[in-house]
Amino acid sequence: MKILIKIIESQITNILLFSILVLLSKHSFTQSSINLGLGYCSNLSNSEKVKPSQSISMLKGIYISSSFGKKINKTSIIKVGINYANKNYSIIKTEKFKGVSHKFINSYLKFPVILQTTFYSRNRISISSNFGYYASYWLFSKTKGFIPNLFDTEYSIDDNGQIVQKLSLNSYNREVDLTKNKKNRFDNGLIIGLNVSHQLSNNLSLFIEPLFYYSLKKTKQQHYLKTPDKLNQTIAILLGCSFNLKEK
Amino acid sequence: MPANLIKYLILIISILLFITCKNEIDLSENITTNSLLDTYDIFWEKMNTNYLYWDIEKTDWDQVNAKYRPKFTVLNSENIKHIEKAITYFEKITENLIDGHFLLFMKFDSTTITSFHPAWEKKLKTENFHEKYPYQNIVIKYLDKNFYRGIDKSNIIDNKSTTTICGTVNNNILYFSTNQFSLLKSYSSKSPNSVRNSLNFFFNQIKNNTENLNGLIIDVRGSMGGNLSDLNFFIGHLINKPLHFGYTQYKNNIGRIDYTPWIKAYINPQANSKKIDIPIIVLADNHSASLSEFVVFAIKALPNGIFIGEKTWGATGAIVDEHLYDSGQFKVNDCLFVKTSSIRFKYLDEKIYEGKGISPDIEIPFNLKDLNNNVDKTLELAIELIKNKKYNQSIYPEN
Repeated sequence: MKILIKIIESQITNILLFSILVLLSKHSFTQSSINLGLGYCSNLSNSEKVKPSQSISMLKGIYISSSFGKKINKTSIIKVGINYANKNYSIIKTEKFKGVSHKFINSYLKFPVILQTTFYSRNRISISSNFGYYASYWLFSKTKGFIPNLFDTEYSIDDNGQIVQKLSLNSYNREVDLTKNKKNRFDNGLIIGLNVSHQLSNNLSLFIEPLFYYSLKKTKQQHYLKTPDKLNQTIAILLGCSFNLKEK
Repeated sequence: MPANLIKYLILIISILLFITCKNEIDLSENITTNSLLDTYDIFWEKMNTNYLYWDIEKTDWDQVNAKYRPKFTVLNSENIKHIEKAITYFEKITENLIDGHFLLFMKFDSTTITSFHPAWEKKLKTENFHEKYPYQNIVIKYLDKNFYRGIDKSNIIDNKSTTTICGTVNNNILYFSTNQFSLLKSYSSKSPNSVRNSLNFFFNQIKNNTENLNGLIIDVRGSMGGNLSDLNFFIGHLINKPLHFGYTQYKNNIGRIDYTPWIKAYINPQANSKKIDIPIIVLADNHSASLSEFVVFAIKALPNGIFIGEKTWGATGAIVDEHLYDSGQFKVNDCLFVKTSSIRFKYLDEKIYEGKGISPDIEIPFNLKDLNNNVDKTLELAIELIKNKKYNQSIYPEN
């Protein structure tokens, strides 16, 4: 309950905005649509410090999008939605620590508000620009990988009489407690992108949508004084369909 | 209406962005070129990442920053009094940390070199504190003739050569002690050393003569630890299959409590080793630390193992290369060296003994008067338990 209150307190403006838009949309379902999409997303930023003997890779994750669109004039639609995004990355140790790896799987709920403006429309194909704002919440995080267990290690003696250590790698898989970790779970920012859609019938069209999410929140953890701030930038590519609820 | 709506939205979004961004403080603006503040900032930040015990630590690290960062902002590294103040602050900041390995080595200029070991400072204040005692000089009086005294002057830890004592009591109790665990290094050394001879005697006895032995005493009193490889090398001779004796945990990311799950900790047997069924008694005192505590844990985990003596030091982690686990020891600006555990351990009972020490099954308080009279009550009790075949947990006095 405390967590819920904290969420509401810290995101009151976001919730307000979201509610206003939903209310505005609710007055009329004329010229409105439901949009469903599926694709992948990936983080662009490297939020980890570069350390010796390791490399960091951003990994693709699933992106599921659902939104409600309302036509506000001949060329523009306001879309509000709820999206689910996986933003994953891995840390891979190299050189003398080869074999050691950690994968971080992070799931987010995103609440975008997008103004979609069509600037090209011919032969049932239309191309639109997307510009908007989003708020997101870090739902959960999981980590898995291979780590050397110092307490399951074999030692041998080389020809020079030196002790040689042969580390044994243990696999692990664990959910991260984000509440305990005091990690900043809220994020908000701007969205920019394109929408290319093909109208199949009066009520149905298919679309492809590349989107760029530019976070306005710094991603560094609360306990960093010297580490430079980083912004969490994400790209997503969606394939989906749009159902027109009523066409005048 | 649509045009108004767009304006309305832009206005809301602008307000929203202003509100959501205002809490972010750009700390870089507050960082001056003052090197003491710079050192503090890096130290405070690295401690978040590299220190292992934040989930059970009593020191509130955020409170530390709130209290001490402003103090460092007014310090000047050119002023010797300010350097002394900085040293005092670093000591205050870390004095209650539970990591038994934690050591701060500070060198702010050529004249101000100092170190601070919180665990040691805490020990000094305890009621039953005693200095490290050279037990090896007394135990030899209990041993049969022809015992082995090993010394390897080329195998040095903290300016001390590795020394061992191995022999028998009444020809039927095998005794072994070492001042530090670097046994495999001496054993595999190309240069001749008497540590190897004492180990050969020990291994030969437990391999070929256990039918004539009633018990085994391993004495790690005063031993502050050593190399992790000695666990397999030494305890591995007493077992014939992997010994599960606890759990270990590592960090896998930069957060304060970004841990892997607990992973089972094993000691692996040596080739051709055999299970030792005779009673095994480990003697330890409150200077027995680190690897010596792992030896205590291992012997306690054996069905025929028992621990007699004093509560141990309470340094149950281990130190390895910082970049393997992204935790543990680190350096700041070449003026601060921080020694801290890279991995942590909990015993089979799921308890972490860091900063607390392992309580003995039978406690024998340190008695300097007895020892000065060549009476080692702890060793005597161990001998008596084995000699009178009273090796049964039911006869142990209640502590």
